[in-house]
Amino acid sequence: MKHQASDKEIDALYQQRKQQISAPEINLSYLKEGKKSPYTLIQMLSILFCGGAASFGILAVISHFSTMSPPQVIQTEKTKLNVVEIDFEKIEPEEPVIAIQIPPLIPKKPYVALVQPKNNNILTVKPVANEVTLIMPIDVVTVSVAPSVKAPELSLVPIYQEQPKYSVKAIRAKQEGTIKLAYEISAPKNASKAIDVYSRVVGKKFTVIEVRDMFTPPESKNFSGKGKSDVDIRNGVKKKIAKLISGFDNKEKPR
Amino acid sequence: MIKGWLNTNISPEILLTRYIATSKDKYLTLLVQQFNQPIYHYVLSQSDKEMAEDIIQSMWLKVMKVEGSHQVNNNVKSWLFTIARHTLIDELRRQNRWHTQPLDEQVTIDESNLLSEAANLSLEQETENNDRLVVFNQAISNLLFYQREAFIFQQEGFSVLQIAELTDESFETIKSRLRYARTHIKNFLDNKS
Repeated sequence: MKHQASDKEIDALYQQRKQQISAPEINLSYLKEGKKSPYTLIQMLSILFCGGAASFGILAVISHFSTMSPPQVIQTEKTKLNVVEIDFEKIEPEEPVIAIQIPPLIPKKPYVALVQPKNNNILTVKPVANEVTLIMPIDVVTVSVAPSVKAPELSLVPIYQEQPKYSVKAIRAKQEGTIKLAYEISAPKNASKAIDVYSRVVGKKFTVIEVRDMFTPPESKNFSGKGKSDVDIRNGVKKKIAKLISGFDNKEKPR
Repeated sequence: MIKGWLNTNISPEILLTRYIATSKDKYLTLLVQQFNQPIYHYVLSQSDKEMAEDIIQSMWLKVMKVEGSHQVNNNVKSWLFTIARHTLIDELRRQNRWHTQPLDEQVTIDESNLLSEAANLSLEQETENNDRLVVFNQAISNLLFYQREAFIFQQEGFSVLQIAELTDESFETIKSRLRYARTHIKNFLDNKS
């Protein structure tokens, strides 16, 4: 006799089959731990160590290149280097410093106090009507404070000397000369001597007529020095010499 | 609230929503208690024990990684079986144990072959197979992958339409797979009896 399998029997058999199977337990905490960190502790430590080493190496390379000396230029055949030495100015020693001597400070003025007498019996009161006279002995101590001052030693040196006034042309020609005044009162009497005197003074030889004209007024033309004082003669000579000097520009150079 | 504490039969949709919101293990534990056994049975029926254990671990790990409720279908049970199925197929492909079959297959198990196999069994085996459950297990193991899959899903309470959505197949295909699977099992059981 055949047994006809029905759907209910199949369902029952399926449930029996399912119940015979034991499913494995699911450990959720284990699954979560696996979800949390994919790296183990050793892997994490190795990653941190490698990162630190890498950063240290980078910093070391940077510091090495920052302190490296400039590259040396290799001289080749094409490039020629001209070495130019720069002469630095020699340092000259400084001039000796002259120390200024500062005068010593003024000593402090000692405190001067009135010394009161120990004996108060000196006070005497005179019974004068409406007048009281106090006689107090005072000891005064005098101390000389000011130092002794000496007068400075003066040496007078001329700083300005009046120079003779030359004309512009004479200055440009750099002409200069020295005039020596020498005269003799009795010179007009001796014409030759007068000529010699003026020649030595001026550096120019004069003729007799010129010497005569020096001392003779243009009206008289008389060479005579009689009746003239020394002052007149001196003034006359000065005038003539000044005239001669001023005439250098228009005349020939004195020989 | 007290009623909620006492009620242990909370719907899986609420459990999953609360787990996503709070990330507390107790909600996921309740889900595991509800669906670990049927899903493991399905995976074990389609593979071996070691692979089934690995797949079930991977499936729950994927559930734990879910961060938004938008990824979850309204039917959590269907969603969990879908994850288990995809994980199973991926693992079979990875181990080169996946044999594709045409979707419109109308391959029926050659009953004559099955009968001959049964006739060739030894006497001792025949005595053992008298147990109806053993015969039933043998009949299920003789089913093809898609037919066995459709049969198991139907036994787990999925409708034909839900199986079609779960397996991404047409409604008629699932119907035919179910029909042939049941026919085969019945015939196998009848012949054994």
